[in-house]
Parts: sequence; structure tokens; C-alpha cells
Amino acid sequence: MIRAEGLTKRFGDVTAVDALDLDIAPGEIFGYLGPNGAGKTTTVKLLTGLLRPTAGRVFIGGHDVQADPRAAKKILGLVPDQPYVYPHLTGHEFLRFVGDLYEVDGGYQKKKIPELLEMFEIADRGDELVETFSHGMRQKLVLAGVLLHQPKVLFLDEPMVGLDPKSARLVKDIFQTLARRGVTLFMCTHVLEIAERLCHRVGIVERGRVTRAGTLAELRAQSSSGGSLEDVFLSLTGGDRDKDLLRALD
Amino acid sequence: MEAAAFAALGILFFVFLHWGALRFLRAVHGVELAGPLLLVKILSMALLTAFFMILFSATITSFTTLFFARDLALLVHTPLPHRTLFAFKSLETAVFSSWMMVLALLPFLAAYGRVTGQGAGFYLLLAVLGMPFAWLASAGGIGLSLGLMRVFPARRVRDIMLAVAMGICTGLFLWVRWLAPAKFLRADTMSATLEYIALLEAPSSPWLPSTWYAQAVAAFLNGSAREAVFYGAALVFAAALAFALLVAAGERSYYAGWVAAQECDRRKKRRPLGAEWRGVPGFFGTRFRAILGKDLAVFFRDPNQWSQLLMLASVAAVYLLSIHKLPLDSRFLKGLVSFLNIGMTGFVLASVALRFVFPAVSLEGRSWWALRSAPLSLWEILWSKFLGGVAPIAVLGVVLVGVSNHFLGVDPFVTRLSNLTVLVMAVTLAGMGVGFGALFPRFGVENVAQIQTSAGGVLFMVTGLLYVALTLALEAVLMRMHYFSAVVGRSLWSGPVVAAVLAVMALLNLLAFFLPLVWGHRHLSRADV
Repeated sequence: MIRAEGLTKRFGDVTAVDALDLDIAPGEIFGYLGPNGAGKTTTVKLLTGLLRPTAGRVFIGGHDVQADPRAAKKILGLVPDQPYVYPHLTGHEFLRFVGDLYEVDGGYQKKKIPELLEMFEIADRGDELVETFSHGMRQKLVLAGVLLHQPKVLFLDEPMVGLDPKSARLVKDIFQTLARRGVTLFMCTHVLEIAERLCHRVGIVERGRVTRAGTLAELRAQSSSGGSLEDVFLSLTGGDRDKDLLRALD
Repeated sequence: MEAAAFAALGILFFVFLHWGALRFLRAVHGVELAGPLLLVKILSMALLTAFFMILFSATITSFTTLFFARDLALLVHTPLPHRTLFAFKSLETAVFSSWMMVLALLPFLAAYGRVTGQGAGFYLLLAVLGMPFAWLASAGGIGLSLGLMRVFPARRVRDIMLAVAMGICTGLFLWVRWLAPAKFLRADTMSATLEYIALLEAPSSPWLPSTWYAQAVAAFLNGSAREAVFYGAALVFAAALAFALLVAAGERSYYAGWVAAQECDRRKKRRPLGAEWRGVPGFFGTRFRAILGKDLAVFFRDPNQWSQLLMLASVAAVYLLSIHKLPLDSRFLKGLVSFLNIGMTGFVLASVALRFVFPAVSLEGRSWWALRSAPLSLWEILWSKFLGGVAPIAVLGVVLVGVSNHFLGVDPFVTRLSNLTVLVMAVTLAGMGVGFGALFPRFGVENVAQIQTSAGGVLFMVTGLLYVALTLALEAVLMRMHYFSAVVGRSLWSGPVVAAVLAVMALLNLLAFFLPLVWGHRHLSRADV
């Protein structure tokens, strides 16, 4: 459902994404992990057509994102790393705006928008301007917007940031339900527990290159340490070296 | 390459402005007896206008820089005293709100110096006194927003902008009318030459910094050093006093105002889907309608945006009233003014496009991702911005040119020509506005004024005015044939010349419309958003 072939993005001398190859199946939740500045957000921008690659191609549901962006974007949904939403629109209006951009049927919107607001527990604030919303509420609003147009592929860049525990649980359940219905999810996250619990496969990116990819069991086999995904991740990215530095602080 | 081309265009424009100002001021200087006094009066009017423009700009800008800027959350919590923070932010506001006006005055002031035969000392005086002058205007605007923020809660203060803007616009209107520029054009309306001279000699208003500035310059030109020092000192002293008073006021109430600004009025509910949304006709299609409705809703809910409508309305009113009051008793003068009227309307349309169309792409701000990730092409986004901008500009242009033509009593040919020209100019300027806005997007800025006064905004204005000037130059050929035919009583129209003019005009409009749009599209499609 998501296919990347030799995807590369260079900003001057800096290579943010380096010859990325991906193939993610329908109904799969793919976790994309890496340290800060590894190129995760740039990858999401390339995969969703927000950024033009220096080399390589991306296919979403068989549609080339650069050659046929409209067909590709019609079936994808994006939750960006920062939930920036027009501050002078109300929550209700933002959802209507998104629904119209994706040409969602008016009658369906009328029925679905209050349901989504209710589900994310922001119905009582739906007619207030977004500028009064907290970070978590905006995040919920963006998630509601994505669910409104029923995408087949979902890109999630740190989707849990700012959510309270109850909402985070709700969102995790939603993701699993969507995957069971055949929706493909590509998720960047720093919360390794979430990746461990939700993702069918995980890719680890460092300095723009995917250094490891596979199921948790496969990654465990590749690393020197077994145990949790956190141990595996730190072992693979060299994060355990920080233990020596921490000792020096004592 | 593009940057060099734009820089060359900018320099060309300033040379052109300077040349125009030079010709105009030389003609005024040549007027017997009253010439030098008229020059001072013109300088005084230019400075008065600049003063009010800076004041207005500072009022709007300071709300953002002093109370809503993102960096304040960090700065307020550093050990930096609030008084120091306020002083620095005030100076920053003064620079933001005055640099464009200063830039616009430069070609005029340089021409002024050349006409009056001045050397380096004159320009030094202008520069030295220009700083306290710009600061005084900015301090007025900053003081106004500080006071409003102190007296009214955060949410209401932005609504109160309506009254503030209206007050400033009315003030500007009255001052300009009070100076009655039309009177200066016609010495024969005065009962005696002495009365005319007396009117010119009288300072505009002894309490206005623009008068002190103009009087200091006039005294310098006359060689009366004592008077020049007096007015110069008044300007510097007033600026220092304004700084001291402002900082003292900031020390007392800035922090409280900033805290109030962080609070949002949660109880202010809106009906689901504002009236703005429903106001967009259905034939635009669902997606265009969504973007247009959203833009309309955001426009009328953001005081930074709609408050500029008032400024625009007052400028239009001043312009139309001036046309109405113009003493036009000869056929030639009437023809000349009705021809220049097309250019003036073009100038107003370019200014409106700068304020409302050029920022359209940038105003998507950090929510740009929502449009770019949706299934619509970049061209569709740009067209929707164009459609949203072109209608109000065209309506304004037709109203302006229609009413002014009515006042002038022009003949049917000029009426038809000016109506058609204004419609074409509205379309081209709206296209240029969207194109330049896409070529120089500023998604990260917090205030629409920062978008308009950016380098891209200045370039758009320069290019827009060049386009208007070229249109006017081409139409001069047609107007000339029309009027000379009327004077000699037989047709002097030449088919090939008309065809050539129309062909060049079509080419000019096609290039001016499409080139910026294509460049803007290319830039946005490559930009990291």
C-alpha cells in the first residue's frame, strides 16, 4: 500500500533521507523510530507529497505521489507532528473544511462530525474558536479530521503527543480497529512502548538511512540485547553509550 | 538570477520615482513668488501623511510585537526587566512600522534636495531629524495599544481596534482636507496674492511633529540656522520625552497587558458554520467554496486584517472628495485629470492587492499542511486565492473610477476606456498579487503587516506600479488621438497604431498575470512546508 523506491532528499550538502526503500502492506501498522533529527518528519513529508524528493519515487495505493498527487492524496490522511489548525475557525468549521476539501458527502458530514467531536470529548467546545484549544484538543481535532474522510493510508507523526491517558487509549484502539479494517498506518513515534504494542513491523532510521527493519522478534535477533523494544532500540542506535556519560555526572 | 532581476527592477522603480518627483518639484519651484513656499507646503503634506501612516502601522504592529509575539513567552520569564524588554520591543516595533515609509520617501526627498540645490548637510539633517520623527509617530501608536490593552480585556481590545482605526482614519481625512491641496493649485481663487502667500506661510499645525520637521528643513533652506535648530531641538526633545514617558508607562502596565493578552475568552461561542461560509456561491464547487468560505471567515474574525478596510475606505473617500473639489474649467485640464484618474485608480488597486491579495498564501500560515496534504493541486489553491481576491478589487476599481468619472463629467469614450482598463488591471493585479505571494511566502509570521512590508511585498508593489505606469503610457497614445481628434474636428485615429497598442497591452497583461503565478507555483512546489 505504501511503496518507496530509492527515496532521497538532500538539502544542500545535508542528506535528510538517503535511498529509502519501503514496502508496507494493507492493514499493517509500521513504526518508524529514530533519534531526533534522524529524518522521520522529512520522510513523512516525502511520502505524503508535501516535499519533492531529490531522487526516488513513492507510491500510495499504486498511485505515484509526484505524478498523480490527487489520486494519492485522496486515499491518504496526515496527522502532522504539530497540530496547527486555523486559529480563527471553530472546531466544527475545521472539520467541515476538511470534509469539503476531500469532497465528503454533506449529509454524511452532518451526521459524522458531531459523532467525532463527541468521541474525542470536545463536542462542548466544537463551536468555539480553535485558538482557545489546548495542544491536546487540537491534536484530537486533527485526528477527527483524518477519520472524517476515511483514508486507506494514514501517516501519523507523533500522534500521541499532548493526549491525556484516556484519549491516548482511545486513539490506540482506533488505530488497531482501522488496521483490522485494512487501513495502512505509518507511524513516527518516540514512545517505544506504543510502537511495541501497536506496530506489526518497525523501521529504525539513523541519519536518513533505515539501518534496521523487521518485526520486534527480528530486531531482537539482530541486536546484542534482548528484552523490550527500548533495549533493542538503544542497543541498535548506540544509545546505551549514554550510560557512561550519566555515570560521569554522579 | 531571479533576485538580481528583482533588485534591478526595484532600483529602476526608485530611479523612475525620483525622476517623476524631480520633474514635479522643479515645476512647482518654478512658480513665480510662491514656488519656494509651495515646496515647503508639499514637504509638510508628505511628512504629515507619513506621520499618520507610521502611527497607524505602529498601532497594528505593536499589538503583535508587544503582546502576541511567540518569543515573548520565553523573554518575559527571563531575568530581563520588563521595562527593558518593553523598550527593546518598542524600538523593534518602530523599525517594523516605519522602514517602508522611509524607503518610499527617499526618492522624493532626494529630488527635493536636488531641486533646492542642497549638499550633504541637507541629507544629514533629514537623516538626523528623520529618526526622532519616525520614533514619535511609532511611539504614538505603541502608546495607544498599551493604553487600550491596559483598559480593556484582551479579547475586547482587538474589537476596539475598529474605533481606533476609525479615529485615526478620520483624523487623517480631516487633516488632509483641512490642508485643502486643491487650493494650492489655483492662486487665482484667492482674492489677492498676499492672501495666498499668507496661507502658504502659515504652518500646518504648530503641535505636529511633521510641521517641526518641515519647518526645520525650510529654515535650513532659508539659511536661518537658529530657527532650524529650534525646530530640530523640538523634534529631538519631544522624541526623548516620548521615550521616557512610554518606558515609564510600560513599566507600570506592560506586564499586566501581556498577561491579559494570554487569556482567551472561552465563552464566546459561534454558530456552527459562520455566515461567511454560506455566503460563497455554490457554483464555485465544493473545494473552492471551502477555501473561499474559510478565507472569508478568517478575514472577518482577524482584526489585523479587517481593520485595514477602514484605512482603505478613508483613502478612497479622500481621493474621491479631492476629485470632486478639483477646479477644472478647461477641457484640456478635465481630459488630463480623467486620464491620470485611471493611473490613480490603478495605484489604489495595487495598494489594495498588496494588503488583501498578496498575503493570501502566507496567511495559510502553519496550517498550510492541511491544504497541501488534501487532494487538490497547487494550481487549484492558487486559483482559489485569485478568485477570492479579484472580485473585491474589481468592484472597488469600478466604483472608484465610475464615481470619479461622474464628478469629472468625462465623455463616453473615456468612461468606456477607463472602465475596461480598471477591470483588466483588477484581474492582472490580483493574479500578480497571488503569484508574488506564492513566490515570497512567509508562513511563519504572526502579523499580516509583516507580510505586506516584507521584501516580497515591496517588490510586488514596485512591479504593480510599474505595470500601472506602462498601462497608462500605452493608453496615453489612445487618449491623445481621442482628444486631438476633438480639437481639430476630424478623426486622427490610426488603425495600425490602435492595433499595436492593443497588442502590446495584451502582451503586457498576459506576462504580468502569468509570470508571477508560474514562478510562485514553481517556488511553492519545491518549498519545504
